[in-house]
Amino acid sequence: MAYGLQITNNSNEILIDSDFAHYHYIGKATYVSTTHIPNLLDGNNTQHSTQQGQHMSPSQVNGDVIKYTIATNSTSSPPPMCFIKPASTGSSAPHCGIVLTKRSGSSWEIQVLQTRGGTNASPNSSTRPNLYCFSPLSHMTSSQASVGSSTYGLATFNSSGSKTFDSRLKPLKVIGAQAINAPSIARSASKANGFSPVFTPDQSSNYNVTRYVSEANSSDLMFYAPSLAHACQQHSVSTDGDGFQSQGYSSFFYAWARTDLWWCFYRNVFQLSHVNSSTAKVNSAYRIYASGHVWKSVQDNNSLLAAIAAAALAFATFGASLVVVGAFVATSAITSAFTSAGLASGTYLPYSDGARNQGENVTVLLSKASYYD
Amino acid sequence: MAYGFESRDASNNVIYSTLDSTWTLLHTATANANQAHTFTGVPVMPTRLVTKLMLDQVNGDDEAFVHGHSLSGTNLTASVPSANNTTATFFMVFGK
Repeated sequence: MAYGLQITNNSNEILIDSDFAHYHYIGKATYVSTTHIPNLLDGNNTQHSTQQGQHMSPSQVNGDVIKYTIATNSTSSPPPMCFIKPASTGSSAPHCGIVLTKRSGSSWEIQVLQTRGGTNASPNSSTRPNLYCFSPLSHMTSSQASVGSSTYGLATFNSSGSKTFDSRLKPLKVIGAQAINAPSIARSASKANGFSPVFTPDQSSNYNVTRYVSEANSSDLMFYAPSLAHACQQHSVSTDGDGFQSQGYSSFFYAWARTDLWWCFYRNVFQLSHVNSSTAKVNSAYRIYASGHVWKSVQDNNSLLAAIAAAALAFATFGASLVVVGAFVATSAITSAFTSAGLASGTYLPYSDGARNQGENVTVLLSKASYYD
Repeated sequence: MAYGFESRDASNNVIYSTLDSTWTLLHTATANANQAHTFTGVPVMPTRLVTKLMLDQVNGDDEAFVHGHSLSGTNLTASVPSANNTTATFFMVFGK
């Protein structure tokens, strides 16, 4: 730099540089609502097909989608940087992560996925986290940029005369950073369990993040780590039967077949834990964002052989084809449930039994909520 | 502290000190959905990191790709894994 102010620490790392637009605290995002993706449950049965399993699997517990909003000073302002301050930490704390950031006028809407416990029929929500938000001074609203009557501190300006740092406005202080990844798959163990398949994730990765300041525990920590990776997993069950329906001159042979398909759509979310005074642990895992169960039954009464052939064809065209399943659900009235839940429409059907963006590094940044409270 | 720099607020709380370590925001950029970009003029520091945030949805579907990226010198290059299913991506480059 030819002029201006640059302050470095004892390791020659830059702390303040008047050329750069430092992030400053603009407040906690305003809580709007909590919802979740509705159950995508639909199917048909024939006269003789099994009546079992017309429900979501108990392990398909969609997490809470918690909506927040935060203002910026114009409709062209970039999104703020939002740190999640979880309500609890440790290995039993819920995982959470920012899954959607979208503009709403001059504000930004931020959606956080937080896991729920319990079962599909009886889920349990946890206390929602707080979002501590940061923005460059040039994108703050007038109220966010107000310093009141305070005249203490340090302010820097760039060559254009724009203020780039103001100690009165609580500049962002990062106390740890670490690149992490999502697991390659949400669950590796078998999902088979009759008509109640198990979708509980069993894969996660732990990362130790060295902090630049000493802490007795992790209760004051907050993290920035947007969810990039998502995964889909599925499980199908096929059942069939045949018999003779006796009803006088109208008696007939029949055969039936039914194929069920369950899936879960997971997002990568995170959990903070304390390791020691200089280290925090970030657990990176998938948790359920949306899930569904569809089934389709067919029956043929012409003859036993024809019925078996029809059932075999049904397996071939339905049971093995996610495209058919997708079309089946997409045309059902269930998708309208998204609107009533206040969520953007979507089918959330499995694209494959795998993950996307899994190889993308997520840089976790740590800070302390008490710096800004 | 025996030497260095401290900035305090009116309540005498330390806001910044040369005993701290942090990451400084160097550059931000938004890559449009389904478009590759090369952003120039990214300041250079001895150590840098890139974070990215998926913006909005593509076709009302959360099953989307985020831009890939590479950072070399003053150029940040954003690539498109899918031509029609890559969200807008907000990049932040930090340095120290």
